[in-house]
Amino acid sequence: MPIIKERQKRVEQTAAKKNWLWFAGIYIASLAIFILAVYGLRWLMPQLLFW
Amino acid sequence: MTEITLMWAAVIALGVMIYVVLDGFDLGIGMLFLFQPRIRNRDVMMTSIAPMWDGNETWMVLGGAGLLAAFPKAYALLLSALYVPIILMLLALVLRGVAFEFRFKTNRHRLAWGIVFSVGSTLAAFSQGAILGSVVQGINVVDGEYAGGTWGWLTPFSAFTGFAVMVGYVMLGATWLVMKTVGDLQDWSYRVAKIILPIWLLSIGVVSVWTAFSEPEISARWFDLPNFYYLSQVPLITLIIAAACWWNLYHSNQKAPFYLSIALFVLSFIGLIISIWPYIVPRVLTLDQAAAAHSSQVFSFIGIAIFLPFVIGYTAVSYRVFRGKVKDGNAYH
Amino acid sequence: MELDAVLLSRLQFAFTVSFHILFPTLSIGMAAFLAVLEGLWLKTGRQEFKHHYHFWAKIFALSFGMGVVSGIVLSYEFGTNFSHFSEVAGNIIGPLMTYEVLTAFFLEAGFLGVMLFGWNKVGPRMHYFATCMVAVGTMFSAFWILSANSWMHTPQGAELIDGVFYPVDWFKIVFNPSFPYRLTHMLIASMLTTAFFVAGVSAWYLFKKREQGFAKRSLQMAVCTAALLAPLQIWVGDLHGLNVLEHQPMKVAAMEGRWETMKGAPLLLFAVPDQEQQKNHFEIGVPKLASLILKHDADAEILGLKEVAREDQPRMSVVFWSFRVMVGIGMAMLGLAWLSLFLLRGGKLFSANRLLATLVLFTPAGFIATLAGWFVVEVGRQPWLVNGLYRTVDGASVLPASNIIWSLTSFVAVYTAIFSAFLYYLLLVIRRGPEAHGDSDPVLTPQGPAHPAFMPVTEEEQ
Repeated sequence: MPIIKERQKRVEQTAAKKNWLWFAGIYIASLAIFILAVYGLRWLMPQLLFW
Repeated sequence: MTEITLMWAAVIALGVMIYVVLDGFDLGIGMLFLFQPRIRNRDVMMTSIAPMWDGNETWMVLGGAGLLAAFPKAYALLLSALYVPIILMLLALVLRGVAFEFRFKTNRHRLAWGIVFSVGSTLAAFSQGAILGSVVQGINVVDGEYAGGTWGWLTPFSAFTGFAVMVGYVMLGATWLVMKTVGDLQDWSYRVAKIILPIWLLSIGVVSVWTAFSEPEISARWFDLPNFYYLSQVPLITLIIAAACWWNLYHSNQKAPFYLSIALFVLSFIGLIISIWPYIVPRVLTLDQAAAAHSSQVFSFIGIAIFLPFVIGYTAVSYRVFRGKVKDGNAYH
Repeated sequence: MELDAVLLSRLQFAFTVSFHILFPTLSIGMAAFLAVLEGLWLKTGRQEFKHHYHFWAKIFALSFGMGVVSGIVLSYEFGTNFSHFSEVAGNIIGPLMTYEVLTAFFLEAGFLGVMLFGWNKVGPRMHYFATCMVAVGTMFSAFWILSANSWMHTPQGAELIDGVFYPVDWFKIVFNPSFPYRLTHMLIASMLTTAFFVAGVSAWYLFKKREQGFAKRSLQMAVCTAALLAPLQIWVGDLHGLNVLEHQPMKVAAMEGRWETMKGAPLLLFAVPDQEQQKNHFEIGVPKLASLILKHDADAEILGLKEVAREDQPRMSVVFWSFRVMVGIGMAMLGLAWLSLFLLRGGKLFSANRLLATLVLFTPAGFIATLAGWFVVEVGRQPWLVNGLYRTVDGASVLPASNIIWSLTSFVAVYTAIFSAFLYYLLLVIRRGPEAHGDSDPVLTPQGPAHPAFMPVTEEEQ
């Protein structure tokens, strides 16, 4: 691609990689929290229903 | 109650809470807008939230659509009963939203749009608080239809919760500015936060006590033993967090006040849920009674399970892209 | 019809949804256009595409913002003004709307910030990804809302038990019979509207002998798009019409101005429908043409509105005339697009002043046609909210009429004010033109110290 010079490309790639890592990290974390929450709620359910 | 109904209740609660926190600082900045005398600083205030306000507001649409999908009877009853404050809120949000678009396009009308921005934010915040108060206090329902009249939503309690939410949002806005700005704007934001924190804490206290004693069932839930041992943790932790927020403000920490303010909002929210559980329209509809068809709850929950982590992921990336201080009101232009 | 609560709620919803639809119509096409422009810039390296991006992105941002705020109103208006409908059909509509929020609204909103403000914050590829995500988000939005709306027209996959709809087959619900046609028709409508909008703005510059290098490129792109899409839209519209004939024959009767069932029905070019007397005045028609178009058989039978009782009939005058407006504009667009393409090929387009002036006049044509089309569809569905199964009167909230008069008046007042402002700033952006602001701001900065390389032109200086 003509407009992206070589050094700029590398800087951009590192930044883009960091963003992707950040996304993956948050995604996995929220998925994990989600799954934990689902199981947690299922476990809590009898107590909650008592109320 | 089925598991999926409980899951959905949690999703709605989460959606509302995320909305309140995210749009909280947007609206808070809007309410503070005209109190900041320098135009250049106002530009910075708006710029600091310009890339995120749309995404923030979307969580409210998730709350609404989710409510329709999972608890349609509650959606129908609440929205038609609270007609006036909801329409007010919607109009206010419209004005706030377009003010974002238009204010930066003009020199001549910048002040006018600033006023629109501020008035819209203030009205939206008050409406939301009043809606919250009305819901907690209960909707007057006769034969399945709302019977409280045009002004049933406005009571001393709901007016106070309107005020409390406004104050809370201002706190979020001020602490966001502390985090995102520098110089005299940041100093100003610190001063605002220091003034607002005690007012907000007092408001939370008043609302909590007022709610707890509003219904015998609610006070029983909070004060009967052994509940009291568990549930008193909530106000206890709230006080600790508030003290920590105070400490951080006075030690000029830049990020902690914002996150601690969020924690205070979350705790208040938890307190409210404890009070109204298992109702979704207190004294009228429980979560079970308002629930949608099982298939509907399942189908839409699958969507939540698949897409919400993605949403949170790229929202976090978007905030990351715009991390750091906003020094120039035209920084992103 | 008295001004009762039901009619007031209908008027309010009609007003707010008509206002809203104008903006996504432009946003969908514009977002796709921006994705194409940025893609071309990345591929060819030619700066002209970036200039185009920055200019049209300003217009996109204005339109998108208006769409968002007016859209939020709608998501709550189901509940405020049509609470019974929300309760009865919530099991069906709710999940579809939830998917719209999850897959479309969040996607657009999440990446919009980077798209409009993130040029200096992320690399070109990430930015392009953001632009594409916004474009995709707008289309996903159309997908889900049209699925929900289409279900109201051709409900399937659900059963009505004790007055409430329960889902049976989600695939059937989402991909209901009219959905594919309506989705395609709307997406193309959006692209076509944007094409004529871009063409009109570009033609204006050329007419005024301004920004000529810039405008020639966009006019060329717009004309080629329009020339391709206009005939396609007419064909899709025809298929859509055939689908409506199958599932909602009374809507077709209203569209065609047909009161009496008739074999070899004429195509009415002009008529004044009289709902009271159940007949038309001053009919001018082409014999047998309606049967020919609708059933491809000049002697085919077309059902008339009188096949159903009066309380089951839609208001013919609105449906009939809206349909003609839409088709009329559609045909004109076809002619204009092909004529423009022909002249473009011959190198004569950029100096064809009268054609350019006509294109300028047609800048809002797509919006009018789209709105007219929606009037056909939604008024034509009356008196049903869910076709054949649930009536509008039953779906409206029970509210004091005074409340709705207040809210309706407020919406009209606020929307009129912001629409005027929108038009003012839109025209300001167009009048200033692409060259006034240099490369890197998709949002206008009248006091922009960040870019000393250009001199911003404020409205005071004009």
